[in-house]
Amino acid sequence: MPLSLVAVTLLTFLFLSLVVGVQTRINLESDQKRSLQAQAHALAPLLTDALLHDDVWTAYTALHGPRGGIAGYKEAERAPFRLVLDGRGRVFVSDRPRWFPLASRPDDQPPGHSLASLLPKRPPAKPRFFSHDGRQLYLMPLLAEETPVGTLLVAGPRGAVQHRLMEILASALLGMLALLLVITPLGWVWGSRMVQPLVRLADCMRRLGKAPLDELQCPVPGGDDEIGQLAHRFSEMLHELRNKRALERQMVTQDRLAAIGRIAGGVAHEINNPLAGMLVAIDTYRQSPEGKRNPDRTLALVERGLQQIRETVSALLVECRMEKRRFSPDDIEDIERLVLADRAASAVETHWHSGIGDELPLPANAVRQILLNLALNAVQAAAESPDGQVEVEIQADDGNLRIAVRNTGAPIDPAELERIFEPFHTRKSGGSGLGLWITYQIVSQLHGEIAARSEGGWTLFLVTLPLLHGETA
Amino acid sequence: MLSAMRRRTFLGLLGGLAVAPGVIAGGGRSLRIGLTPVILDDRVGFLNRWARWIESQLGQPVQFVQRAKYQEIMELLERDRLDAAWICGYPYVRYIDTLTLLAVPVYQGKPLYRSYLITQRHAEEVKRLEDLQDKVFAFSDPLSNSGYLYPVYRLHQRFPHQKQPQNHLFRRTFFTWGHRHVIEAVASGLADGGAVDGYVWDQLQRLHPELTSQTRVFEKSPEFGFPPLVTRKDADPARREALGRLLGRMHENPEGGALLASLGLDRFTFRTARLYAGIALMARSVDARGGG
Repeated sequence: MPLSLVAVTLLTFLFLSLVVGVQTRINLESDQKRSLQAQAHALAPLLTDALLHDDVWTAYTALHGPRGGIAGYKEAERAPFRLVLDGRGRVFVSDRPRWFPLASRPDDQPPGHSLASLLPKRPPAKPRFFSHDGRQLYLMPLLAEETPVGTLLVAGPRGAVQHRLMEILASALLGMLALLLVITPLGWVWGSRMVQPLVRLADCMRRLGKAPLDELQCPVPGGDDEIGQLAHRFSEMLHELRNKRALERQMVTQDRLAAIGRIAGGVAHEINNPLAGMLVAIDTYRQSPEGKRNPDRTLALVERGLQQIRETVSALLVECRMEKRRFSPDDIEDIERLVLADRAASAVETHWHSGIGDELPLPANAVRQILLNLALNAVQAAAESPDGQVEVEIQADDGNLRIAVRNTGAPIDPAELERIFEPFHTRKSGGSGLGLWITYQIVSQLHGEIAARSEGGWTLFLVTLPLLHGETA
Repeated sequence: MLSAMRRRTFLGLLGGLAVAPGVIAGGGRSLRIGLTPVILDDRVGFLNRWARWIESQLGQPVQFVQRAKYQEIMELLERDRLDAAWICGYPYVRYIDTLTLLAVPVYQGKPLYRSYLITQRHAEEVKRLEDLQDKVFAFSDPLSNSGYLYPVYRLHQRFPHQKQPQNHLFRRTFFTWGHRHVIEAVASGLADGGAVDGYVWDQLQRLHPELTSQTRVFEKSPEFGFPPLVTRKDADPARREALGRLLGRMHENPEGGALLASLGLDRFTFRTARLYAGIALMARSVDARGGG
């Protein structure tokens, strides 16, 4: 950022230098032309007079000044000069007598005076400018009553335009360097102040979703500018996210408490029913003499009640017994036969697709119970709809066993799906509400996953069980 | 300038009437003395001091009148616009019928001086005037003995059959209207050689050695009568006598002596026209050929 500021400054400077340089050059050249012209026209009357009177000295002092005219120029070579030629093109006078000796034709001079060839033998008809050897020159006729009597040549300093241009550009460059010295640190500070908050904000956003939301500390800048507003919005967003997370936690807790309540209710209900029967049987035994005569009947009643309670408790405490036998394609055939034996199965079209050709490293009974529970549920659900269909797919791949059971029974709404694996939850009249609970417990104990969803007229239960490689199954 | 001059005239008038009646007869008018470049006539401060001194001595305002060319001073004399003039020996002998000598400077013990022929310092090959063949030569003034008459006479002697030998020998000649300018022309390279008043060259070497050091004297003429102060023959005798006497006693006065020292002169003396016989001879010779 600060570097780009410096670059912009430099570019601006270069562009300005170019424009100023070109314009200055044009201005200097036209200034010099004007100055040469003014000089020539100021000198012309006196020089014409001197020429007519053959007064070399007067002309010389006019051109040269009484004490030399090259003061102010380090090198006499660069200094301006003036030259007057007579009507025949010979030197009448000049302020550089050693360059242009009197009464000589400039052509006579030794090589080096390449100017000589540019000088006319006769006075020119009109004044004109020309350039030679880094100088601007102005050539004009000296007229006495419209008659040309000689030629005046006024030459500007050599390389003056370039010299002045270089001086101007050099001072511009110095100014620029001074400006850069000031601007670079300023730009650095300004750029850092502008970029630093954005960098912090970006860093904070990168951590969002990786670090825990509550640990995310974002010291973002204030201010009313765009960056400040961005930071403000980001803070608000973080705040909203935290609120949402808290709300979700609260809801989960409430759901959990509700589930515990439902389970407790179910357990109480399942135990209360046999308890009530047993208490009635005992009461009847006490009050009825007939009962006392036949205590076996009462005991049998109490035993059945206790048995029922034990079944309920053991069903709740599902324990997947590890066994030696592995799940094999034969087990699938057994389950298929068992399901077909179900009363409801007669009204349902059932399809079994098995991709299992060999034994799998999974406990046979556990998998059989999962398969049986899901298949029977599916058949019973499908039986309640016309043209009910059930599809069972079993496949092993990637170290997993996949069991997919679909049925065309009534769809389950999403709210119910959340509670479908809870104990004592049932959709059937007469169901214990423990089948899916047991299935869920077995799947969990096998480190697998179970999911349910309803879509497109089908309700799908999908079980994924990891194959127990290297473990004793 | 004009008002200053009027005031000076007025004061001079008062002085003449009140302080020293009878010292100078005919006192109202200022004394007008013409100067030519036979001396360094551009030393304005010196000339003012000299004028004030003469004023204080004569009780009469003094005005130095300077012109660029000898001829102009001669014309002013002719028209009786000057009371006296310091001119060269050559115009004196030319106008000897109408002029009379007022005073003659004594320079280095004698009322004589020489003409110097000079060239550029590094022109080692120039040993005689003839060595400047086909070069550019600067004369000071056509009415100067040292700066024109002598070198032309010298060339007449060398080229007896040439009517204008200077144009025969040199590629180009020109006048600079002053001895000092001749030296400047040679120093700057405008001219390859020139003829100057030896006294002026000596004075310039004393005052501005940086200028004369760029030139070299390669020939010195025989001695001639020093440029004199003259008056018209018909000038007021009392005024002439008073001024002449003052000049003659100038070296006796401390301030006058200092002024003379500043001019580089010993004193003023009185001589007859015989002093200028040599110049008269050259003038006749040159004029006879129409070379003037």
